[in-house]
Amino acid sequence: MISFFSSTRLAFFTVVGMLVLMLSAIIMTSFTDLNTVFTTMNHTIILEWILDHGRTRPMVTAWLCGVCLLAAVLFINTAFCSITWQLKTALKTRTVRRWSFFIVHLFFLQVLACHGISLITGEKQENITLFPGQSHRFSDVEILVNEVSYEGDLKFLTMPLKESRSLMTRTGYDRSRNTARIDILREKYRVATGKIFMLSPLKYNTIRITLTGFKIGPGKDNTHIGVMLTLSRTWFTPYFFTSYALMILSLAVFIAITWNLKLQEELPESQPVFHPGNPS
Amino acid sequence: MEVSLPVVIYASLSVLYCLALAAGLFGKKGAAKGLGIAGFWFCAASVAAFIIQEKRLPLFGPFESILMIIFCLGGLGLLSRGLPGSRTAYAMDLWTFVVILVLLGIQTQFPMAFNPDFYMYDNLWVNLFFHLRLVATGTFIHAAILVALGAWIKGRTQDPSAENILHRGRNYLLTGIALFLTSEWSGSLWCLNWLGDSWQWSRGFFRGSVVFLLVMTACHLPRSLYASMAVRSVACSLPGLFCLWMIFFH
Repeated sequence: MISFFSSTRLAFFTVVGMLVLMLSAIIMTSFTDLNTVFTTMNHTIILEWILDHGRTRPMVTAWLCGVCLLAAVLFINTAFCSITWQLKTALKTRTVRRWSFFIVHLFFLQVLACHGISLITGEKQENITLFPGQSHRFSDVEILVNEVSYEGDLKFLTMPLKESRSLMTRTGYDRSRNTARIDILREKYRVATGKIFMLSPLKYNTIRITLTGFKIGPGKDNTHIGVMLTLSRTWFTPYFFTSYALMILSLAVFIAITWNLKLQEELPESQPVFHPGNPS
Repeated sequence: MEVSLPVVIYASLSVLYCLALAAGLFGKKGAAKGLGIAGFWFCAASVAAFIIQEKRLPLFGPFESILMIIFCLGGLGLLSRGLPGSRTAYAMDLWTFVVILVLLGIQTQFPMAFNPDFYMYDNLWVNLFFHLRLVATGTFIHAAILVALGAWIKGRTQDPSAENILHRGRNYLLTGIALFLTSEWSGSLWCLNWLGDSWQWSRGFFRGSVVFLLVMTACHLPRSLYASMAVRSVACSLPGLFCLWMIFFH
């Protein structure tokens, strides 16, 4: 049983399965209605999405379950392989190469776990439109938009996205001059305040308020401008980015260590070129 | 008629690499090598001219992608000059020239122009995401050439240098994925600051995942498949091919 769960063969077929699912998702996103379903998955935490839309969107739900299942198998496979084979070999041979190989997989497991956690924990609300003076309840706080300052061309807000993108150049649109002042209130007391603009969100503990766009409000003079916000609360984001960075770093170390390695001499068990791992 | 910088770059690169391939095919090894080096340095100068003119790194769009990928291929080709056996190095040069000319051929289907500017191009993470993706693509293609060459030599002769070439191919495949993951990591930070989440369920995310999974597949081939040189070279070529498809046709 252990040898089955830690085998390279299982890893191969799981990865190929995921590959098929990802390629099918690329094809699915070329159909407008299915692409819209995928877009709605970004509006909230996936667990909530499945509970709300799972029955009405069976195709994408089945796809999502397939991805989760294969990711879980890959996680188990990597964990088994790391402990029963890579760690054992590292302890036995005590070479930097074996340790670095084990560590790459360890960080990969962490990244995979963070992806899994992100599907079921935290809170998220997308496309929240607020005008100056308006507030919105999120988690245990109130988000108040105090002031909106928009100095860009108003036509950017009314023309189609593709057209406006080509006109919004670095010289034609200064993102730091188009801002919103946000207050975070808890039981009517201000606990945090700050100016947000595109690519510069406001963070308060695990809450993140991100400005995703501006919107012209009702009225003929086009002067009533509001903001579109994404509100999210996740505790693991720093862990995710740290694990991801450490995985890349450990991979770089592994590549450097094995760059000139005469593998034939070191590894008599064959297949060393792409298999520094477990030959199944 | 005003001749733009992209047209000058395109014409010069085409001429240099056509001549390099022709010299190589006619057995003029010295000339082929010299023209290959000239092509690389011209490409390096073109990238520098691009950066000076556009005040940013090559990021997105067919023309600047082609330019950056050719620059990487030329540079890595020079780095791999020390391959065992002069014939192997020569064959690698020729295949690199062929790939570069194919890329230049693909470019004829797209506008000879740099990609328009965008206000987010002043952000570090945006730059790293797009730029490293191009560098990774160049590295994947170089790995594909090496593995195909190593597999071809191993399949036909008992030359021990084949394993060495295959190992180099593996090195560049892993380097490519390290670069690609760094690009994705930067992209995740960009996504977090832009859309409030470290990733989005979107076509871009699925395509990025496919590249990672293709490299994972190549690195986890079962023994029965691993023994086949054809399977191994196809598996190692797919990440580069998919990246090209992603950049040019999707």
